[in-house]
Amino acid sequence: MTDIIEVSQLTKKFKIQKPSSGLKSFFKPEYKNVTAVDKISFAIKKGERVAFIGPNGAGKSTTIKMLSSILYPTSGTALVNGLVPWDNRKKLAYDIGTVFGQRSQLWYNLPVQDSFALMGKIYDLDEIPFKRRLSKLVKLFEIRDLLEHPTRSLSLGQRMRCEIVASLLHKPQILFLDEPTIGLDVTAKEIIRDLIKKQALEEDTTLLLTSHDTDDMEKVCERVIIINKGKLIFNDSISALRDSYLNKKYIEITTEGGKKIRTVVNTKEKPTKQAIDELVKKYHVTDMTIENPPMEEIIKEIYSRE
Amino acid sequence: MNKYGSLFWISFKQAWSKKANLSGMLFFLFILIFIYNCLWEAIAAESMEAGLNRVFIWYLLFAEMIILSNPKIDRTLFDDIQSGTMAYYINKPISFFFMRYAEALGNMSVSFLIMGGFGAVITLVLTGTPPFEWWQFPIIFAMCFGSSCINVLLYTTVGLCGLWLASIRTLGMAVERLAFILGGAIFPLSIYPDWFIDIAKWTPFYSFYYLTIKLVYDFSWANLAETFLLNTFWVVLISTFVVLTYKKLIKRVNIYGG
Amino acid sequence: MAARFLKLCKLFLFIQKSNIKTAFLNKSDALINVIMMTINNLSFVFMWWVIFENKGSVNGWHFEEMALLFAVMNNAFATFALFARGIQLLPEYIDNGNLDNFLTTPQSSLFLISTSESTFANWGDYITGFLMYFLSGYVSWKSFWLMVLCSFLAFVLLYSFRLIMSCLAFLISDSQRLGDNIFMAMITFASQPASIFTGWYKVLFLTIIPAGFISLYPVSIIKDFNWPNFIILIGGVSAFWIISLLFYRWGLKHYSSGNRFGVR
Repeated sequence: MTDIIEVSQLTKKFKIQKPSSGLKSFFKPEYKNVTAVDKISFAIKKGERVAFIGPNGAGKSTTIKMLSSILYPTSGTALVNGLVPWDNRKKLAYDIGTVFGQRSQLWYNLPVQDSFALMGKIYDLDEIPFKRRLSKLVKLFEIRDLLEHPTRSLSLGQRMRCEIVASLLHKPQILFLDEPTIGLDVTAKEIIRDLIKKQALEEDTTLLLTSHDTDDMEKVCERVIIINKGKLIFNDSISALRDSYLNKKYIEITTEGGKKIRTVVNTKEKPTKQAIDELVKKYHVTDMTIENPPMEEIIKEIYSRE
Repeated sequence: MNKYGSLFWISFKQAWSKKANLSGMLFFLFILIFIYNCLWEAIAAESMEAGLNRVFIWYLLFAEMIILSNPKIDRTLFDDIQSGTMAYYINKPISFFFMRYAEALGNMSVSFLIMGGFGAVITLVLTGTPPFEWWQFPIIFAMCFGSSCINVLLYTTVGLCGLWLASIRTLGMAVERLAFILGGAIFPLSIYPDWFIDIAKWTPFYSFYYLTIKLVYDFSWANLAETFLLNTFWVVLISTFVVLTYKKLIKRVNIYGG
Repeated sequence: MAARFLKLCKLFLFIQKSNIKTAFLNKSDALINVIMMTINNLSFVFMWWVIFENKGSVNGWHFEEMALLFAVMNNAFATFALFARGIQLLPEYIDNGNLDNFLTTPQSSLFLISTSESTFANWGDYITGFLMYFLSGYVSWKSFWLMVLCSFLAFVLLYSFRLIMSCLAFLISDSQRLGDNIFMAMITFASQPASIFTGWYKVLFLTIIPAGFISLYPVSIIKDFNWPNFIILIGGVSAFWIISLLFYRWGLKHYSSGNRFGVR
């Protein structure tokens, strides 16, 4: 299998105006350089599902935006499906789909299906194949009932399903998803993850997904790239990450008296189920939550082992 | 300071910090004064009325200070009504209408003052000293500032029409045009035919703009009194409309929830 | 190339069709707006008519010349507002990062941005424009087609100028009103009798604020066609068009996709 995305030494610096007031800053504003992405290199094979993980402001979105031809890099190179994104914007657009969780590509006041129709025109799709494609996606993403509603009347989860359909209409080989589950509740997150994975498996779509939620990558992806402060700090399979870093569960129980007890379980030494059984035997448990270690914890671990 | 005073002051400071906005506005004012100075100079040269531009450009400056300082409160109110934002304020211990009005006045004051200072310098350089006596300046300035407050009030009525209309964009434009024509905000009404002035006299624009600004070159205590009384009459009338419409609006929000 | 162009035309028609469909959801509202716009324009015409009634002529311009100017100006603005108004929203798209959506499509992002907004009421400008042409007293087949051509060139100039102003947003945030104001200044410039600008002012009138390509040259060409003026007009408009495209291309390289923070 060949690499569909190749990135080498990719760097992006932003010039940021220093916040200040007064007449002086009006005529001569001060700037400082911020390195959002710092010499990142990696490769992704065709059909792979890769998660791009890191805390807020780590440079995930910036990287995705460079790969999807929105931003020009400061230095470094990248090839997406054999093309340099920022030099082949229109050509590459047919091969990629993009979903930005915090932005909408659907027309706010138009019914969803009108937005889809316009998308079809923009991507030069012919009438009949477009309809066939749309009905397939509508079925897959279960949005038949939403088609006649204007975008503004949809819930966030419904809107996200429609956004993904809109970006899949032209059958892209690569799908970039930037925070697709942001702001969604647990059930909606679950649905979106399932759908994304199902679609990718069915059509052999290469996925690159950013998130700051570790669940997103565990449910959807095979490989994970972690970046922090613009630097790549981990690039391996999910199972490798799980073995070495994601091997802890945070369990919090509430006992009958309302007392809260928090324990950390190392799943390598003791399966989660066994730990729960022990707790239930020992205390009179009324409530229980089980959590993965948060992103910051994992990053701290990675640094500490280097 | 009471809450409306604070709102005024906050939006004053906010407007003051928006440098790009202010420079754009001053640029536009400069262009207007410059263009109409060219025009009046050309007209004065042809009709042998020297000094025509000096009188009319000072007049224009005060007219534009009133018209251009309008912070588009009609759009704000309209959006609030249409989007239902208004409903969120209804249970707060503050009158939604006066909140927006105070904010708009804060905004307007910044524009009014800045345009006044900057415009006076340009007009002085381009045309010469103003046609009024120095001691009259505070009175004229206060009257024009008053008109500017009334101008904002006038636009609140446009915004409140969102109660019945699906879009107020063209209505707002129409009011602006009426101010320009019936209020003589570009060319003083005195150049228009008599039948037209007779029509204008029956509209609020006549005293809000023309009579008020005319004090710049035709100041007398009698004119001042006439302007003041007419303005007061129209303000009462408009306020009544605002109060009635606003009550209706509140009722609707209470029933349908915005 | 030709096939590409044909596809773009089809997309253009599709977008316009849905614009009209949206406007006609409320038919009476749409028509009232068009009529109000026409009345708005005519009231402005009336104001100038009064000036010319009073003073006869201004540096050689009469009401007839002014009527031709109104024809070109209104038609150009109608074209802008109906088919390319979205370019006015570019600063907003840049500030909130929505430009991303336009950049990831295979079509020209400029085309999609420009057609993303349209105000139906501005059909009233076409009504005013053609009415003023017929009132100008310079009516003939030749002058009619020249008027249409000049209106189109004036539209291209308006568009290019607005694009340059919109590109300011790549440099400074919150530049929406600044751009709007400069654009308004340009339109005000263009709506005066061109004869009042002489000497150095005329230079300014054709360079920094290129309103002369909307008022001065079109009017003189429609009145009395001559090649040198026509070539200057075409040259000036093309120059601004090319400069604006270069500006946009330069801006895209500096686009930071909503990553600009720190200023408000």
